[in-house]
Parts: sequence; structure tokens; C-alpha cells
Amino acid sequence: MSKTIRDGRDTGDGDTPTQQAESPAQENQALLRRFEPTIRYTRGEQFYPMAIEPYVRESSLWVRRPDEDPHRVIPERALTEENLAEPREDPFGTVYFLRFIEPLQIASLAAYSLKSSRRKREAIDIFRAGRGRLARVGYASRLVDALFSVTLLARGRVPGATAAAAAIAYRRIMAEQEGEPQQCYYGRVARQDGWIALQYWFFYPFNNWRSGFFGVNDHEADWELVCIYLSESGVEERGPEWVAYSSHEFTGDDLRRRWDDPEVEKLGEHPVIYAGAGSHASYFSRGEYLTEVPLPFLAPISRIADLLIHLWFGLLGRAPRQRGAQDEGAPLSIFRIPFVDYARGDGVSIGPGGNRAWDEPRLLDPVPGWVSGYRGLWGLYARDVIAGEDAPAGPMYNRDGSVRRAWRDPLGWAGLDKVPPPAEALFRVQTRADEVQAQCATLAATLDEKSREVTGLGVQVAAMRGRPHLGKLHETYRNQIVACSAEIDRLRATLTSQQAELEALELYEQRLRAGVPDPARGHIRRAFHPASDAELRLSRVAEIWAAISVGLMLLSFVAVAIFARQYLILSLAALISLLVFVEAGFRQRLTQVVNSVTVGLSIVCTLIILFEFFWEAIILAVLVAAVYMMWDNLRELWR
Amino acid sequence: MSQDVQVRVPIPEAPVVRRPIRHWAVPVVGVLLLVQTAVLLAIGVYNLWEVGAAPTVEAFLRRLNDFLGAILALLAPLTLIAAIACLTARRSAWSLAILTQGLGLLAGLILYMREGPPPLYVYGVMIYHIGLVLYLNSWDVQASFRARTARVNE
Repeated sequence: MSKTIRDGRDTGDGDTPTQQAESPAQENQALLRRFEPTIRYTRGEQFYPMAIEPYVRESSLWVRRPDEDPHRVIPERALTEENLAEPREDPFGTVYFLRFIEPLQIASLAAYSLKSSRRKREAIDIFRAGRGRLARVGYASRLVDALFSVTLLARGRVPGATAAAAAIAYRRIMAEQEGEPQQCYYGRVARQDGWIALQYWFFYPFNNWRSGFFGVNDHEADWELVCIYLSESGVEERGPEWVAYSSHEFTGDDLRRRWDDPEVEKLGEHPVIYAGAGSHASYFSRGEYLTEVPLPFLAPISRIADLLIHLWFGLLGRAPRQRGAQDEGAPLSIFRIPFVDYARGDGVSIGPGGNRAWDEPRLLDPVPGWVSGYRGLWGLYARDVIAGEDAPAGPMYNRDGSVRRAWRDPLGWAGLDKVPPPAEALFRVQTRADEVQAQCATLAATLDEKSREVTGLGVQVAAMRGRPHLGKLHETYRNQIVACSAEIDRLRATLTSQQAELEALELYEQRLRAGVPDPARGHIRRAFHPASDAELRLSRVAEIWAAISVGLMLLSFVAVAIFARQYLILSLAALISLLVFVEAGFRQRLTQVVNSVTVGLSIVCTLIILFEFFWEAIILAVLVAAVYMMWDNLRELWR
Repeated sequence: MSQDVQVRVPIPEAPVVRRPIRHWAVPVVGVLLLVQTAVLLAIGVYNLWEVGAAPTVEAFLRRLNDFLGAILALLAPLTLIAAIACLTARRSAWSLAILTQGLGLLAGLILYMREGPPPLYVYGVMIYHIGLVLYLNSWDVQASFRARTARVNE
């Protein structure tokens, strides 16, 4: 099977030139149309998928060469898809980027805010966070979050009013369109190893997750991908086999779901996707997803903490709680910042069955110049090193200009490269079984040969016994026997394993023949899970407490430092204890907190005892060891 | 979306190793807590006796340290309740037991940090509590607490 990826479709020899030019494109368009997804957004979403032309027209092209300030190459209104794709020669480390928007002037922003407040907002425009992200996590995470917020002042980021300006620009662009504003996607049909990958690329002018929805980042431009996989030989009979949505850091097998997986919501032949508010990350189910951003500089502390936890649980013979487990009692990592991605699906819905329809898909076959020729960023290059405030590159490239895996290897991107199309599955299993059987036969023959060899050597060695003049040869043969036996052992182990493999293949073949499908979710190692209702339930008092508690603690600390400095440490300890216990009470985790504090106290007391009675402790330990050894040995004697 | 964030998801659970549940662990904890009650009560009463024997206010103030030792007696009723909860397999037994250990350790630390050399029994109290904290947190005890309280609640 060819490993090449074919965009579009090969045409037959008998087609006329017109048919050759039109038929594959029409066929691809029809395929894309037939299975196009429906995307459900969260209330308050401000940006929806759009065509790139007006965005490019509104943007300017900039370049930042190493050790130079950025400068504009092509101004707004002069930039087109054609001159964007022009080849340019530059030194290594050069970054090209678009700039969609300049921050609004204060007066313009004030006017916009006033206008927005006067405008009666429809329910679909209003976003309410519900239970805040800080109410879902503990103190340490809140303190780290405060630190993260402070770093926003220092590190590169998208300027404050850019989101508001982008919203204005986006509305203007939409208003300039004739008739109803149209949302569109870019479609690509790639054929690889018997599969057809329908790629739906969605372009958003702005990601306002941070400024609009208390998320991690803002950046200009956003490209999202949804991929539907069909078997080349079973499009009509079987329909889609798999779907995969781009979502945060998920890769490979975890990205994809089988078409008949109950988690994949469908409207006829159209998958339903829940887009994260502002982030536009795609989810299979509606809900609120707690995400974590790791802070690289806290990684060493995090590793030490993990080690200590493992030691403690190892001492007690208990399995440590897995990081990332989402059960109610599982602690979040305190070294990661929690954010919520709201994918509620209660806002605008675009696509079949939704309240807006998709415009005709824009095909990326053949690949347009703006896709293949422009390797720069599609929005502001903020030079942010932590949380991705830099704009992404286009559908074909990563930020560093290398080709995206989703583009060059659509199957491998979703871990489907190892899965044969259904029509070929039986054939692949049989082929593999034949290969393994052939390997087993070869191994068995080698084993026969080796067995004869070792038996011959054994006989030879036995015959030499009692013949002193053959001493050296005897030794050589004995060594050869050892080597040969080891080789035989290795070969037998391999043969046994391959026989087991063959047996598994035969059973699998039987299952396939009987039409028993593989488990739909057997390939998933980590799955998306929205927060449960229980996790979302927290009283209003607790919410307010979560919002003010860290600030309250810092204020109290200042008060103690001013008025009772001599009791600073004691007061601080009492203050933190009080806050922690109140918090634990709200979360119904008082027992866990009491246990943690008690364990902490016992560690302190142990250190005190070791400090006061070091030599006595050593002597006692030796005594205990001696008594135990004696008891153990005597017990063995008495048995 | 184009940043390195991680969605919190369940990780497949580690294979469960079946270990026998030692049902006698809960009554053992109860008995240990009864012993602890008796010891705390004895220490407290001894300290109160010492304080009470002071004939004057000055002598009482001089013996304030001994009075501090009496706080251990205050823990005795709570420890007794925890012991009874363990012996009758109440749901709150483990929580009460660990709470009494925490308070006992705290009292031990306060006695250790007061002026002058601490009496020897403080270290004894500390060692006893440390041992019980370790025991209460061990897998066997926790499993037997869960099993026993579940059985009683059925």
C-alpha cells in the first residue's frame, strides 16, 4: 500500500479535460458537504469561523529579524493572498507575522463600551462563568495563579484592548458581507493508505479565551481542525469510521473516536462539536472542562513533591493517588494553573440543524499559495514564552515553519496509521498471521539445528570425560554448550511468544469473520471529561470565599506585620490554619485536611525526638534490629 | 487554541492488588485509644495535683508550666469518644481518631516549646501519637475501617 498522501482524487484516462478539472473537485466538495460538522458555541462567543480574505485585507504583514525591532512589510489594505505568499529571503530566526488589529484608542474603546452597554444584549451574547475556576481549586493553586497573573505584566502578551478591537473589526467585516453573514470552513480531502481524510479547517480571527472567558491566553487568529475518516472502499455503505478534533495538548489515539462511539453526538451524518468559549478547542460533549497549564520553572519543585508523596504512600503501603485523576477528591497539581474551558453549547450553532448554515466550503485542493507559500504567523507575534499568546501559523505549518503533522500525515495525527480500513482488516490480519507463521517455521528449523548441535556437543563432552589429554578441548566444548544452550533458550522464548502472537491473530481473525467489532474506546488512554454536576455544586458563600480568601490572607499578614510583628510567625501559622480549615469545611474535605496537618505535626515531632535523642534512637534501632533477627532465626529453627 | 494546556482526565487505575482485610485492626485502634485516654488522664491529673499543691499564688505562677501539662487531660474525653466510636464501628471513628492524634501532637509541641526543659512524658506522648498516626494511615487499617463501618451500616 502506498504511503503517499494524495490530495483530491486521481482521474481516469477516459475523462474529458473539463471533467478532469471539475469532477474530483466536485466530488470532494460533495463529500465535505455530506459530512460537514455542526459546531455549537457557548453563549458570549464573539468570533466564528470566517473566510481569510477579509482578514488578510484588514491585516498588515510584519517581519522581525534577529536583533531587530519588528517592522511593517506590507500595510493594511495592500495585503492580499497573492503577495502574502511571495517568497522572501531572510536570515535564520526571522519571523513573519500578520497584525490584524492595533489596540483601540482610549476614546474609541470608551465609545465602544458605552455603545455595548446601551445595546440590549440578547441572551445568546451573555456569558456567565458560573462556578469560578478559583472556587474549584485549592489555596496553593490560587497563589500560583496570582503569580501567573503578575507575570502577564512582564512577559509578551496581546495588548489589553485588542480583543475589543478585534470584536469591532469582526462585526464590521461581517456587516460588510452581502445578505446574511456567512460562516465558512476550508476543506481538504486527503487519501492515505486506503483511508479518506476529510479535513475541515476553521479560521477564527481572534482567540479571546483570557480576556473573554478567564482562560489562559489571547491571540490573534486561530486555526482549528476537525477530521472525519472514511474507508476508501466503503464510503457509501459504511459512512464515516472515525472522527478526530483538535483539542489542547491531546495527540494521537486520544484525539479520535469511532463513529459509533456514544460520545460522538451526531445529527444524521453530521458530527456535533462543542467549541470552547474563546479558545475554540473542540470537544465531543457539552460541559465545562478543567484544564491545567504547567509552569516550566516550577517543574523541579513539582518533581520533589511527587517524590515525597510517593515515599509517604510507599511507607504506608498505599497506592498514591494518580495525578490528573478527576474524581471528586483528587487534588489538582498545585504547580499548574487551573483554567476552565467552557464548552456549553448553549450559544450559536453553525451547520446542519443549527441556527446558521455553512457557506460553500473553500477547497484546499489544489493547495492555495497562501497556505503553502506563507510560513509565518497569522496574527501578532507577542514573543510569549509561557502560555501561547503568539498567533498560530496557517493550516499547513507549525509556528517554526515546519509542516504540521495533521497536514503531512492526517492518519498519524490521530493515531490511525496503524489501523487498516475495515475492508482490508481481514486481509491484513491474515497477511500478518502468514508472516508470523513463516517466522515460527524458520525459528523451529533453527531450533532443530541448534538442538542437534548441542546434543552432539553433549555427547562429545561425555565421551571426553576421563581423558586427561583432551582437557583443553573438553573445556572449549563445554563453553560452546553454554553458549548454544543460551541461544536455544532465547530462540525458544521467541518461538513461544510468536506462537502466542499467532494464536491471538487467529482468534482475532475469527472475531473479524464473525463480525465482532473491536471495543469502541479501547484505543483511548486519556479521555476528555467535563466537570460533573457534583463538582459544579458549591454555595455562593463558598464562591465568594474562594474569590477573596487569598487577598484576605495577604491583608491580614500585612496587619500582623504592622501591629504585632513579634508574633509574626505564630500569627501567620494561625491565619493559614484558619483559612485552610474554613476552606476544607466548604469543600467537605475536613478529614483529609486534619489528616494532612496531623501527618505534618508527626513529622515535626519525629524530628524533635531525633534531635533530642539521636544516639538513643540509633541504639534503640540497632536493638530492635538485633531482637528481630534473633526472633526470625529462632522461629525458623522451631518450625 | 494553540497553547500547551492539559485537560484533567482520569488516568487508568493501577491494577488492584487484593490484600486480606484485617478486621481486628479497628478494635485494636479502639483499645490503643483507650490506653491513650488512661495515660492522658493520668498525666493531666498528676499535673493538676502538682498545681493544686501550690500553697500560694506565687507558687501557682511558678508552677504554671505544670498547669500547661494539664491540657493533656482535656484531650482524654475526646480520645475516649474516639475509642468508643472505634469499638462500635461508627462512621466517624477514623476521623475522630486522627483528630485526637493531631490535637495530642499539638499539645505535645506546646509542652515542648514552653520555658524550661520539658518533662520526659512529653516525648513519650509524642512517640505514642506518631506511632498511632502511622498505624491509622496504613493501608490495612484504612481498609478495615472502611469494611467494618460499611458492614455495620448495612
